[in-house]
This record gives sequence, C-alpha cells and structure tokens, in this order.
Amino acid sequence: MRKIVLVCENGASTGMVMKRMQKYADDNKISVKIEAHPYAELGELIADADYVLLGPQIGYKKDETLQKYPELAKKIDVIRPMDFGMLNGEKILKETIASIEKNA
Amino acid sequence: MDFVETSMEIIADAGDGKSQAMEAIQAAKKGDFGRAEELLQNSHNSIVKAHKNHSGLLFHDADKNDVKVTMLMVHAADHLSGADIIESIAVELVQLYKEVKHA
Repeated sequence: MRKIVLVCENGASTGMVMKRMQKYADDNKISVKIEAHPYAELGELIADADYVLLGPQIGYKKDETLQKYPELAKKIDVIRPMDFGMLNGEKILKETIASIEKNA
Repeated sequence: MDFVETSMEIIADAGDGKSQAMEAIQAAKKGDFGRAEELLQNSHNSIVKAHKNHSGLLFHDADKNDVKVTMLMVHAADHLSGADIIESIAVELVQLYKEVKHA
C-alpha cells in the first residue's frame, strides 16, 4: 500500500488534513495510508514513504530538507495554503497520487 | 460561519506568512535583498489575511455570542501570534543583513 506522510511543526494541523485525505481515499476505495507527524520525526519516516508533504507553515524547510535527505527529490511538496485552509483532502490526495505515478 | 474552516484558513495563511518571513531571512543571508523584500511583502499580505479571519471570529462572537471555542481555534490563534513575531523579527533581520553586507 502506498504511504503519504504529512509533516508540520508538531503534526497537529496537518492531522486535520490527513483525516480528510484518508476519508476521501477510504470512501473511494483508493488504497493508500496517510500519516501526519511532527517535522522532527521525518528522518525515521522517509524510508517507507512514497511521498512527503510539508504543511505551508514549514514550506521554508523544503530546501534544507532536500539537502539533508537528497533521496526525497521528486518525492516532496509543500501543501498550498489554499488547499490546506479549505481542508481540500480530495485535491491534495489526487495531486499527490498523480505525482507518485509520474515518478513511477 | 464554519469555525473549523475559518480556523484552518487562519493556520494556513499565518503558516504561509511565517514560512515566507523565514525565507526572506534566508534570502537576505545570501545577499538577495530584492527577493527578501518581495518575500516580506508576501508574508505580510498572508498574515493580514489571517488577521482578517481572526477578527471575523471575534466580531462574530461579539455579535452572536455562539462561538464554541475548540482546541483547533486555540491552535490557530497560536499559529497567528507565532507568525506575527517571526514577521517582525524578519523585518529587523533583513535590515540588519543589509547593513552588515553593505558595511
């Protein structure tokens, strides 16, 4: 099963987004596991993550994250504030799956 | 008014504002002051947007007195005050980098 990892400072607000994404996936029988974690745990999570999404509040950490974990190139994005604020789980999930499939 | 949606919008805009303020500091550190100023402006616009939603909640409560305070709302207010502080500090740091690099 594919795994999408969402990270923000402490995994709280991305938890809301995670729930909406997982609900859309479950309702539409899309086989994917979505998790939300604090940024500090990212290192332990990347090995089995198909894609990593950063919350808009830590978008500035994308470059340093890529320097630290070059293996995340093509596997990381920042969630757009608009989609995040509207809790648009469907759009975020569809775009992320499209990115995963583009890399496959 | 959807309180969950409003809280999430505050978190998203305040978070985006904070992130751009941090990027402004990083740009100034590299000496790219044009980019730093642009990021500070974008940061400010996002934080103002978050404040408008935040005030909307306050005014709504003052008017109708029916806001049920949730942890998500408190978390949103927390994000907003954090973003405010980072923005103020970023403005000062960009200025400081300018003076240091042009000294």
